[in-house]
Parts: sequence; C-alpha cells; structure tokens
Amino acid sequence: MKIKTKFFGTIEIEEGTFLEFPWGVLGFPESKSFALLEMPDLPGFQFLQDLDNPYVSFTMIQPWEWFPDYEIQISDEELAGMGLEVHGKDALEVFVIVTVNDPMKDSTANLMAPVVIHSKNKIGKQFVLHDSSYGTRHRMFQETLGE
Amino acid sequence: MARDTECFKKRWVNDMLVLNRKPGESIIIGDDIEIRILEVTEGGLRIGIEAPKDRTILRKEIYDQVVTENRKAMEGDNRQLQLLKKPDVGRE
Repeated sequence: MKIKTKFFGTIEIEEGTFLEFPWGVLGFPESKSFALLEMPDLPGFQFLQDLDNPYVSFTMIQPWEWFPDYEIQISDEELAGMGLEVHGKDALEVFVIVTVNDPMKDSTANLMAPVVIHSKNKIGKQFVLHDSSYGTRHRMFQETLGE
Repeated sequence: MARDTECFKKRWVNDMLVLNRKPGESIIIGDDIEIRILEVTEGGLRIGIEAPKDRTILRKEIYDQVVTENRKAMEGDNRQLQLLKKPDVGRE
C-alpha cells in the first residue's frame, strides 16, 4: 500500500506492518494508525508516521543505543490493560521520541515518555514514567560538540 | 440541616462541575471511574483513583509537559533531519 509521509514522499509499505495506537499519542488523540519507517541512509532512527495525516511524524531512537543506563518499569498489569501483555517469545520494542533541534547537537530525547510497541499484536502506546527521574529533554550529544 | 444539604449541592462553574466532598467520600465518572478523597492534609489533599487499566492517569503538569514535547518533536526541523545521516557524530 502506498502511504504519504512527512519526510520521504509517497512510499510503498506492507499493510501487515501497520501499527495501531488505540489511545493515540499524547496530544494527538486522533493519531491512531501508524507505520514504523526505517530509512537505509538514516540507520538507528525510526520514523513513526501517521497514516491518516502525513504531517504527523515522530522521529525515534532505540533508547539503549544512546542511553545505556536507561531504565523503564511498567507493571505486567498495566501492560495487560493495554493489550500489550507478553506471552512466550512475544517481544516489546521500546523507542523514545527525539526532538530534532537546530543546531542538531541540541537535539533531545524524551526519556520520560517512551513508545512501547508489541511486535506481534502491532499495538503501540506512549507510556509516561511519571515516577521516574527522567525528563522530556535529555541531550543526545555532548554540549561541546562542534565548538 | 442546612450544612448537610451543602454536600448534595451540584453546580457548574465555567463548564466545570463543582461538587463538595468530605474525606472518604467518592465521585463516580461513568460506570467505571471512581475518585475518592482519601485525606486532607495541610495545603493539599490525597486522592485515590480506581479506573480501567487502559486509561492514562497523570498529574496535569506532567501531561502538559509530555504533550508540549510531543508537539515540539512533531515540528522537528526538516533541514536538521538531513544531518541525522551522520548518526555517529557525537556518539561515544
């Protein structure tokens, strides 16, 4: 199926890979269907593209590649309530949303509100780790970079 | 008697329903959300919330913070995005 994207024009992707976000993304309650895009020339980054609104796209990273000490705790009960419970070899994928700033070195990652995706059920949700010490703007690059 | 009926008063102020409650008393929203006043402390109060587990419940300032960041992330700089093509820059 062809979909319109914010950054990559119209591209063809397999329908079976579409993700449902039944609760939307916080602040975007209408955004409930997404495609998770990866671009060969942008390794390490994922793009959560709203299928109904090309303008809505979130740039994401896998948090442990950038923040090895990152910790996330979500109870089994909470996951089950979201349809994200894990059986056997099912896997949850965790991403965090990046705010790309100008200059690039000021870009930040939102460690407080990770996006959790159930690979098999194709369901995703943005959780908020409100009891953690994480904030919404963690620098991805050292402050002195390029200076 | 006048004081008792005070508890049953229900009025709207700027589209906000305003109810009087005492510690231990509850409010029900729909069939499945209960908000109970647990304790009134000096300068604050503790409330307990029973709701289906698929409902997101957050302190409003936290919610606002995440929504603000999501919007900002969504408006990410296109030109800067091209620089992501060098993801090793700045990585240890």
